Amino acid sequence: MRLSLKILLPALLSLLLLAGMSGFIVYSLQLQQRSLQDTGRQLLASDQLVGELRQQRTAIETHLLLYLQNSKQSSLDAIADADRGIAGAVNAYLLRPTDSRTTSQLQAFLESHDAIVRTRREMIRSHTAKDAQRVRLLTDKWAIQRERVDANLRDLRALGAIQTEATLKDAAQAQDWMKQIAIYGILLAILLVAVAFAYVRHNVLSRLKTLTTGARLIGDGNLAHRIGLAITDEIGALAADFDDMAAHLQETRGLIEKRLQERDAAIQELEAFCYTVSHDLRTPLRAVDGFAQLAVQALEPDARPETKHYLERVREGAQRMGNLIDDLLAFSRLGRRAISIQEIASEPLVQECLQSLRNEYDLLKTQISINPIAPCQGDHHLLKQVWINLLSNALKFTGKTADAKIEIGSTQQHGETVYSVRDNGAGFDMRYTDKLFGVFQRLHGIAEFPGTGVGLAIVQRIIKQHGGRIWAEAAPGQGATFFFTLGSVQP
Amino acid sequence: MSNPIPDSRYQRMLRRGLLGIAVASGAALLALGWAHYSGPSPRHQEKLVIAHASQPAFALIYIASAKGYFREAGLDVALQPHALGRDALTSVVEGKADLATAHETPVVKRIYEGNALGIISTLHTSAHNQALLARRDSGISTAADLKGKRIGVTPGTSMEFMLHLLLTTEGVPASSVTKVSVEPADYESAIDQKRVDALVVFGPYLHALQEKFGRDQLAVLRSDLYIETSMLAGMRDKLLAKPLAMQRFLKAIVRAQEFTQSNPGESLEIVIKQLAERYPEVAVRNSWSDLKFVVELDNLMLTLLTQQARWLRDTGVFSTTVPDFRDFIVAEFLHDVKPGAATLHTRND
Repeated sequence: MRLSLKILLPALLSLLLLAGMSGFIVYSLQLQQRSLQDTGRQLLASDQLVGELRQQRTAIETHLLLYLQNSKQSSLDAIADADRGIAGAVNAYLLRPTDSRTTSQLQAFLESHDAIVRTRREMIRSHTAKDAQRVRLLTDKWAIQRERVDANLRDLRALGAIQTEATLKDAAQAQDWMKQIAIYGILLAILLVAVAFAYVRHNVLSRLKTLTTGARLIGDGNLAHRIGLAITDEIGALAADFDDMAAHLQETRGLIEKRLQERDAAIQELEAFCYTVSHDLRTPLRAVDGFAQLAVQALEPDARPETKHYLERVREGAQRMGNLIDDLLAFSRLGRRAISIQEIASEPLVQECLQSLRNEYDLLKTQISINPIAPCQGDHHLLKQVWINLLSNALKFTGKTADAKIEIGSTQQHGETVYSVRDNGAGFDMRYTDKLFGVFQRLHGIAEFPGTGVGLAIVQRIIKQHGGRIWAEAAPGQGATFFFTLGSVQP
Repeated sequence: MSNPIPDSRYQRMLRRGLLGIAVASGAALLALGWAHYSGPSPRHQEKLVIAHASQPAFALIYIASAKGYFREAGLDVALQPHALGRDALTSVVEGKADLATAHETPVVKRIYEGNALGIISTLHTSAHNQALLARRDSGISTAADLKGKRIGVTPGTSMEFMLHLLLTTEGVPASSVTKVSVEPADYESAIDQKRVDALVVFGPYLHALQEKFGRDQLAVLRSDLYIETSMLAGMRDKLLAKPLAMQRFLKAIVRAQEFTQSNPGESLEIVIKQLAERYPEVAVRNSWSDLKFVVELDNLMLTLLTQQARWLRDTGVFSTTVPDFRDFIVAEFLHDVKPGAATLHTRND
């Protein structure tokens, strides 16, 4: 069943219940009112009937006595009129709707009345026949029957009062019932609403909670988690979509992880190969350098100067190649070394780096400004290498600049710390900036500015290991500025 | 990430509140159902002993019993059979039964004697259930022929009153006839052995004797003034002490009356079976149509009782003042069970 229908159904039931209850109460009130009116009319009609019957009966008795005294036809005519009056009143009463009990009482009256009419007629006949003894007997009989007719009339009248009382009692009872129905109907409606609430809570809110918890777990990376709501409504469909998505993501992540593992394995293999090659190259290179040195030393004094020059060039080449291999080894070691994160005070570190560069560069020739540098978190050894390489670079490329200046500092940009090393040295053309951080990539001639072209590649690798970025701004002859940030690496 | 649906204190209170209302509503509905459950527990059935005259006139008792209406009303009713209502009423007066079925005369006599009876309802009425069977060989064909004859009648029964009305309205002085006391068991032999010239009989005997001796041998004389009425009566105090049982009993009797109206054939079969040992089937079957089963308390019944009491006073049986029978009618039970059937409950008219 659809969720909307599940929520709508109890609400509709409650509304129907309340509407039904209201309708029932209104209908009952109308019925009650009609019943009271009917009873009132019946009581009135009953009273009128009894009054009419009594009046006619008195007239009959009066004229019967008169007839027994004077035997006048007018008395018999009056009796006949009264008989017709009784029949008319009874017939008029029976024409209106009446209940079975009243009809039965009226029937009893008519039977008693018929009996007394028979007796009366016999009395009249006996009187006409001048049978006085028979008249006396019939008078006694007539007296007994008269009492019974009276009893019937009393019953008729009492019945009206009883029916009124019963109707009033019924009305009071019905009102009590209506009150109870209203109270219990409202309670039932509240119960239904409570059930609906509990139902919605169970079917919607708790399932939504399960859904969001599951979605959160999946979002946090637990792609093996499944929401697993085995229901067919909208929430169930959404949960199934989430589960499908998680399954798809899990599958994709598995593929990616497999590819990464393969790539890492290839890189490791490559680095191992590189390290081995570099390491193995050093031994013959030292032999070349050593033997070239021995050859220089072994040169006869009269040896041609070109020979010594050539041997010196061999040694320079071997040494340069050794430096290249050392840098390459250093670069490849970066990928094999685990980083150790700690809190680092940047300014002392920069000072330490400048001190270590004093033997290589004449720091007094350069105006070095150290602005406040924000502390950072990172691997002390590796970040020291970053600063050494960047400062070394700056010192190298300002070596031929008169009034050389180097400015070191850090700024806050967009919520992150940007460290910078600015110089006014040779600079470079920004068109070649993409080659700047490549291994063995150089933007200047080796004769102009010596170096292996690995330093900036090492810097970039360390910065990336720390989750940061490095970039440069420069112009030929106007110096260069290197910026870097450090990501939020965790210790 | 924070929980998107926090269980706040408000929600917990709301949930508890709604749960409370739900439980209260459920309990209230159960209580309502329980309160309106009107069926009596079968484990608490009240015992009642009903002394009855074994006659078709008391069919409602047999039908209520046979159809299980007493049991369903929560009553354990024991039927105590008697030949006549007179005897059944004696059982009540002697404390051997709670209620008796009796015709008007024994009731009037017992009240006149000072017994504090209570009448809770009528059971039937009939203008033809009693008659005087006269032997034609005694020269009787009309009421006037009864002068100087021996008339058998069962003393202490309504048949005495019927005979009185017959003789009075036909101008036959009571002193001109000889009343012979005959009990129902001797009806047949009284006629057969010609110990009586005429015999007042009721219902099944009327038809059984006609069958036995032949309709042309026996003349049937009736008083058109006589209306037979039977009723349920007990000792007033005892009845008032058992209001619930009386209401339940009358409820079962009213059900039996309704059943009789809608199923007259089946009702007759029940009565035939009930009275099989006492009356031939044909006698019960023939007397059935003379009976009108009414469960009422009306002024006509009161008038009949008063008229009989006056006759007993006038004939010298009792010399005291005619009782006010309204003091001996307990109308509230019938009024509660069948409003409108008890038209006697007011004294204003």
